[in-house]
Amino acid sequence: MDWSAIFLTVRLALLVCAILLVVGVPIAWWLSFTRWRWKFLVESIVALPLVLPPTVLGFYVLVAMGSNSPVGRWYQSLTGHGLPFTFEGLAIASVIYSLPFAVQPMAAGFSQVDRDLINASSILGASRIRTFIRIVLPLSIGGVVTGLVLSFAHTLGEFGVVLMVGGNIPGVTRTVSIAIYDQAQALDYAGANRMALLLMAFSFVTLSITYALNRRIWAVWPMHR
Amino acid sequence: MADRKKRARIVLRALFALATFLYLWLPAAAGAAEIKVAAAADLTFAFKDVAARFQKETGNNVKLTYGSSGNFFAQIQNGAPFDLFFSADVGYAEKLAAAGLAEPGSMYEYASGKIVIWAPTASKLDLSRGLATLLDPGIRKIAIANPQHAPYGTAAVAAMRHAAAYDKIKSKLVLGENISQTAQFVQSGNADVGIIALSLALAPAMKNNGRYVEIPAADYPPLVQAGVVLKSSRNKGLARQFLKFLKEPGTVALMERYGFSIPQDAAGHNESNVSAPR
Amino acid sequence: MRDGRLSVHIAYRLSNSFTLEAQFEAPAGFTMILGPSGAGKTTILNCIAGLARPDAGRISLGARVLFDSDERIDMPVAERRLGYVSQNLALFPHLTIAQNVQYGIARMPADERRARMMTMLESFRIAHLIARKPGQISGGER
Repeated sequence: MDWSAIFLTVRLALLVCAILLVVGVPIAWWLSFTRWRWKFLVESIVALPLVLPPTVLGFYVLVAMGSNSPVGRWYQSLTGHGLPFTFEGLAIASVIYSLPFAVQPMAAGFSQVDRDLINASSILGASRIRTFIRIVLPLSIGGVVTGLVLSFAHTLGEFGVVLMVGGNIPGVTRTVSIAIYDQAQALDYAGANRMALLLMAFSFVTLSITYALNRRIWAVWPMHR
Repeated sequence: MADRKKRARIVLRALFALATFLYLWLPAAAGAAEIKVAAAADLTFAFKDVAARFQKETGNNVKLTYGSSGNFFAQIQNGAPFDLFFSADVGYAEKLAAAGLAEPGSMYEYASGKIVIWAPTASKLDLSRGLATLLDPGIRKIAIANPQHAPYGTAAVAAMRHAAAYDKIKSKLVLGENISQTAQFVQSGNADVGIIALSLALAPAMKNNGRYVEIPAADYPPLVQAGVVLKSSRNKGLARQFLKFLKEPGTVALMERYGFSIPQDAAGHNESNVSAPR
Repeated sequence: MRDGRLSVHIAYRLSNSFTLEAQFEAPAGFTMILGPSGAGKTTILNCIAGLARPDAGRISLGARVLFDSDERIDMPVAERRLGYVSQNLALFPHLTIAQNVQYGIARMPADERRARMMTMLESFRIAHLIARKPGQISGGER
């Protein structure tokens, strides 16, 4: 059981979740409230990681952050080493491929909030931000939670992009999915099976909790009237 | 009422605290006294042993990553943070040296590799016929490593061409990402037969599950395997120490047990001067 | 009500076959707009509130110009300082009655805010409901 891979993967997923909360909510908000006629272009860009093969995504991310790119060179001047094959580079790549998993449920949640309530809030003098924080967000928290949990679970399991951008460095970018692949290649099927089961169980539990909680926000305690 | 909201807020805060705690406490990247080795996949079992002995003798950690030599070459060119690179083909090592990415004077031809034809125990193929066996019409899939970036794959194709068999069976080929995955294809039965590294055929996981026959060395260009210390390494001292360890008689014997031919002058006559690129 | 007359003159193309045109002046006090379904009554209200934007025209309340297509004035909803009761009441379901009532005056100092709220609730005799949520009171109370 490769514990360093497990810890590494959990850390990566938590970090990616935190970043997606900050980055995803504004994007989802904009998508659900804008009436710009070219909005569908942004929706398509956000959804791209869902349909692109991981190798295509991984390739472009590698090119975009490699030592020949402006991003890569800036990072190099800042820290003295490149972005690919580092935990940070992996985190950035993970944010990109998990973006639709966060944004889509959030945007769907925001869109379902009764327009009349939003209008009422505006008429009563609330700014757009205040309306969002006090009215929209509380009424769509299920969508936000779903988005975060889905991106967490998805980051846990990603393989192709991680392999291309991460380089399978033990303790740095060797995630659980890569470790399983390694063990299978080294013909250690028992080891691969153990880790695969663990990953599957963890993902299943995570998803179950999300779907259960989404029936009523705090289903753990009974609602009193 | 306010009670429920208070409970909700407590749960949220607890979850957040747990997440932060997990994030900070879970071990981050490993410490400093270790080397990261990029090793060609044919070294999968041999180097596990070598590294274990090195760790026992010196107390220093060796982190091994296996893959195809071509893949590593590309990654190292893009800044992959390895300390040592053991290629299955001296060509990749030389190209790195020519590009100024290798530590001068560190190139070491550590072994010579061999390819074999391997089939699972249950197979009815008669391997004694050598490469002609591959022409058997009953075979559906033949596994080799991807010749584009795996030296063992290139050697396999060369041997097949030498036997004038390549064009006839090329449609049945299944390409492994590296020689290790190739072995896994055959061992699992997903391919009927394969051309793999001798070092993998001798590994316990393979030895007990099938049989093999060596392909005559004259049939393919020699697999001269060379390793280098990388210029970007932050642990050059330890890396060189590992190279020296490879040359010790005990380690040489271990590698030979895995089917590698070790160049005779293990005492150091193999270090070629890398200043003049070939 | 201190603002004076409401003046509305708008044109709004709602579909290929229907363009709403409305022009009227309403003095302080109650004004009723009557018409068959689909005539555009709610649309007029929405234009006044700022929830909809007519294609052309001018809406002013006393000295304040809320909308003027020639001068390119379109005051944002939140600044128009109007009260609007929608057909389905639009009470915030996740806030208590107290919070609902105080929503529009949040920027007032806390005690003044509470005092105003209590006055309003008492005048409708629902002051005892302040800690409940809209889901927990009757339709009439809402």
